[in-house]
Amino acid sequence: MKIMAIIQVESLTKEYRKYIKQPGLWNAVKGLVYREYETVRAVREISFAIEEGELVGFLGPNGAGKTTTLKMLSGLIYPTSGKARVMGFVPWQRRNEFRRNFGLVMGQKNQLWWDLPATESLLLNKELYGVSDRDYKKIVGQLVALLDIEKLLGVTVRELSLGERMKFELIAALLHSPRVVYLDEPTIGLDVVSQKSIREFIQEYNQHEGNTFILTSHYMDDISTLCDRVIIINHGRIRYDGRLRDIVGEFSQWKVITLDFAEEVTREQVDPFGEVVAFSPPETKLRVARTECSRICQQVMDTFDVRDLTVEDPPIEEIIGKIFTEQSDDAVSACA
Amino acid sequence: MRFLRAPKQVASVAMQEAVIYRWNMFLQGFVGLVPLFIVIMIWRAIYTARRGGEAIGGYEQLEMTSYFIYVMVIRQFISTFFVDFDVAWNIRNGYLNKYLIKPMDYMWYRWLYHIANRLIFCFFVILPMVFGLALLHKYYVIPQDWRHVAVVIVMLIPIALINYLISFCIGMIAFWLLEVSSLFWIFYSARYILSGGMFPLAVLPGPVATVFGLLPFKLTADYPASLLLGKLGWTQALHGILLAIGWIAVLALFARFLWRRGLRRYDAAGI
Repeated sequence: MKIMAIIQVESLTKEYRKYIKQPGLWNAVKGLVYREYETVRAVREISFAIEEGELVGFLGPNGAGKTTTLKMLSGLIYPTSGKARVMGFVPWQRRNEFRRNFGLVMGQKNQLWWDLPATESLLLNKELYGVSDRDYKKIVGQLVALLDIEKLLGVTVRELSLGERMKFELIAALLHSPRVVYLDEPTIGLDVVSQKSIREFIQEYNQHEGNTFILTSHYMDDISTLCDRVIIINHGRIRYDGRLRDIVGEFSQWKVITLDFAEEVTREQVDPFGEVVAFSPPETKLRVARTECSRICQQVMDTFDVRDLTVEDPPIEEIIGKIFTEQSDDAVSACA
Repeated sequence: MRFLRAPKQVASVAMQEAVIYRWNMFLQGFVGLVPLFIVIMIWRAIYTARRGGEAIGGYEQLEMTSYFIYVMVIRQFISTFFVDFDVAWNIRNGYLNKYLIKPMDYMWYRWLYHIANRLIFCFFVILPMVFGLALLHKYYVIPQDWRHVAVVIVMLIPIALINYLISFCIGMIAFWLLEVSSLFWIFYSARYILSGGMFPLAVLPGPVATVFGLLPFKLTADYPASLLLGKLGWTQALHGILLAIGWIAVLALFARFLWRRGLRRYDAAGI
């Protein structure tokens, strides 16, 4: 029998009904009697499984459906259809045993008590989750030292910088040693130094404690440093689920040939071989179809005197950027 | 007592937050005296205009002004002002998320938070209240029967709970409607009248008074104030207690129902 994954998602779908308001006063008045709605499919039939201890990155542009997926897996919203099990629980039933074992950091929402020192929020979490005094001291001591914020425990949350606050948010979410942790854009709006220190912390924590993380971000750096596995979501669908490195083979139909000519060559002469991406003689870059690559290399070598030739895959960022900008494959359905 | 540790910390957080706003509370205490003063003047004028100064709804002039002063004092303890706005705000802006992910019950958390917060409020409002009572000493009588006072004191928590549950339910309208503040003001006015905050329910015609008497609202003003004035017999006092227990059960169940329904519509705005 197969061991069940810690997070199991099957055909999960979330649709919203959104009221389309045309601009202007007259349309607002019209909206009182007759309303047009459109169904927004935020997440469409996604399925995946995550094993215990994995650190998986959700990658996607704004509005792709990453956050909606996390909301469902946290039990904050109900799906329109589909199934999900997290640690064997249905998240949106919000059982206490479920809630005691997962943590959520929301990069754009403050979870700490704004007017009080961060310690108070930590203490409140301690009691709500039933963390023992000994564990509390140990965990907070460790995490605070790791994030280098010992001195800030007594500072009112409102007076902390965004980076400092995010560090406390992380501690608050990890205090009860959750088996599953969701981090929704934990580095958003942070400076490079804070981003790096939070990244390193997550990496170290995951390696040490072996708990499962899902991380969303639109910073490539977060994902490439932290996650072996990425799930790319766009228009509510999973476009890719696998190792970051393997994306290239899967998505790129192109290769870039860099040529260093030993003779004078005009642009018109190279044009027929492929799309000229850069032309600065003697160096020229050609973009060619992946399947045609070796044939074209051969032809070029036969036609010109070539000093050097290299073949490269396009950079990962470019490929992901391509996936991000793909158009939705079906139009939204409108109904009155 | 392990199970008491979470409530203790919630109360501690609520009180610490309340203390931050102490000056606001202190001033609120004084500002609250202004409408009370106006109400007393209006009723004095009404009694004077009815030449004989005869009783209205069984209330002599001094009883009438006492009534409003009692209502004011009781309101300091049991008011749930702002709870509805706060609940609606949390729903609308997705701040409910931080409570929903924790192993806790938001409705009872918010109640505990409110009570702890109120306790601090009452502490800071004592001075303005004593000042007000001294200033208005000509317009009220001290309650005559200490047993009435005892009943009202015991009833403060259940009455506050009723008030809270009503406010909580009103706040949950935000699950269905986006902009609710003007609606909330309408509810405030309705509750004000139905509770007997505007006039004692005894001045109403019989059938209307009977209907109002069955609603939970009167428990938050008319009931304790007229009890303190000695207007209610012991059967009526008991009736009020039973009514309170019944309404707490009904409102708590109704709140649960709305909560379950509402969460299905909750969109956890912008994590």
